Amino acid sequence: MSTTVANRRISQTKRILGRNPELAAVITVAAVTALFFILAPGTMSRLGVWGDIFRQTAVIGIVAILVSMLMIAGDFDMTVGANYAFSAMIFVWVINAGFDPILAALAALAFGLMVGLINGVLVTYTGIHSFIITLGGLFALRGSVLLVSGGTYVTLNREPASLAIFNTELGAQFSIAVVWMFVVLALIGYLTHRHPFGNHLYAIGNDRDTARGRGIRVTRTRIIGFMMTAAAASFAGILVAARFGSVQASLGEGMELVAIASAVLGGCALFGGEGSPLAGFLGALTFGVFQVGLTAIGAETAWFRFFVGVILIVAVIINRQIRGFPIQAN
Amino acid sequence: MSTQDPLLEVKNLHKHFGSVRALDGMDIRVNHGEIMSLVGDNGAGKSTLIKCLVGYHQPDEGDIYWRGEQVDFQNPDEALDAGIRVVYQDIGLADTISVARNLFIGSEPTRGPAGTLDVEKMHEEAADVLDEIGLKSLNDPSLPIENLSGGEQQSVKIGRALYFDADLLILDEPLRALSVKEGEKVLRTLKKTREKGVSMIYITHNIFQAYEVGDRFQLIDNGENAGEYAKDELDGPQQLVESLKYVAGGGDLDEFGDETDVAEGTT
Repeated sequence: MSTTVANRRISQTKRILGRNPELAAVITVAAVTALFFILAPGTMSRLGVWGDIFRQTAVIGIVAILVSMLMIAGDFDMTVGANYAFSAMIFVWVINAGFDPILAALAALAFGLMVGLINGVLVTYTGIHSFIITLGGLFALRGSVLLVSGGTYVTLNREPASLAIFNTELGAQFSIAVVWMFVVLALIGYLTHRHPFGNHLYAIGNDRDTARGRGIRVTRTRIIGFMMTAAAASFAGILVAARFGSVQASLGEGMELVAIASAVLGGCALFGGEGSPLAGFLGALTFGVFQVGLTAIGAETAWFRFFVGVILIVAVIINRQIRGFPIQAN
Repeated sequence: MSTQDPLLEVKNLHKHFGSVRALDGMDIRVNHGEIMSLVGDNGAGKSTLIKCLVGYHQPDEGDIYWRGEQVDFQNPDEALDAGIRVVYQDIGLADTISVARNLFIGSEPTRGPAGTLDVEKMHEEAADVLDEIGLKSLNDPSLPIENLSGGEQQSVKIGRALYFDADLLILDEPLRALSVKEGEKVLRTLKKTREKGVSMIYITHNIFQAYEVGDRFQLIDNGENAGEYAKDELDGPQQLVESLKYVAGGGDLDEFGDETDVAEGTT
């Protein structure tokens, strides 16, 4: 009888977290924010600092939101960083060739969709884990970036008015990229939680055979997931190119890992079936708060990477402890 | 078709895999509204029979009649369309999503031009299903599947099959890996399901579980019929044990004996 009571009690915690899997991520963000409020109260209470945090979060956030979505289906995309750099370059080249930024953005997005299609087709038709396939893609694509850019950088030679769609200051350090991130979050959140597509992603991430048995087109759904993720990386590249007007060949190196770290910090499982787009955003926001917060207290920037690692491990351990394993009432 | 006809009739089914005779002239029959329990030892041919029945395998020989008409399902989807659903013990649910979402995986109700999920409808219908299968106490279709016990999960699969209008449910060892208490919950769900007039094939190697819910029992051994009994002809499960012991040569009695504990728990 006592075990039943104990099970019930754990089950209540699990019920709450089961329905609100992002709760742990919200607590993490709040804790990190509180820490910096204590360490640097004057800085953290300024609106401009928050503008800066959200600006830092926007670009990686867009990628992390989609990487989270992809991880729900149990897939990884290691090509996002290289794809981000290549797409940013395409955006710059097309504008420099005299075309409108909107056309340039479409060209960059088309490239991204193509990368996603190749990723998706290779993963689904070979049956090899997406981590391996896209890891290969990462090297191939990064090599291509170095080859086509000559290993240096490309710079916008003109700034047409419609560039403002991708780069406008909104005051207090907030930029239009933040708005775009929330648009992406809302759209992907809708698709994941309020559209059959999302239900299919969760089913695939739980068990592909079950999903197939229920009539879900598993291959098609996974390929679409890869294409959406790659398009998000391209879009992030467009935003960053529009903001800085210049793209380094090394842009986005390591982004794929930060995106996965954000997703995991937000509560995505490495083997699929768990997580949400909001998780990716909250994970990215946690890192954003940390990055700006460390600068605010005057710490060396190297500490950022150190703490990214530490927070990640601690958060995952706590998440595991709270959520535990499924309880079988015996 | 008259209601006197059996719902399903399988005659003289043969299936060979190379030199292995998995089915060697097997007959089965399921009447309207009954639980027919197919009992046999592991490897007796139970699973092959079901796979041939729903079109997963094509039989080498033999005829299948569904509602009095001869059928030849080319794949499990065709059987599904006809109203025959197989509920597997170990697959069929996505653990991390809610009962309501599981109920509708692959056939989600939508509204509006964007095809938005009709979450309200999903929850209402799921609550009704929980009620129907006797899990009203759960009373919460937004609960993730992994928070349900093993027996409750089996019941949800049965409820889902019912929701999608199955006329014949095929349950492949539904109590395997469940505790006695959990097994009881599933058996209760099966009895409630029978009250609705749904027919079932209950596949098991456990005679005592079979006896608990079955209306009729067909024994299978080495891909052949090994006897058929109606429940009212029997004094108790022991008679089935004796029959199966006889056909199986007695060698497997110990294994069946292991299940006696479960039987005592369920009755």
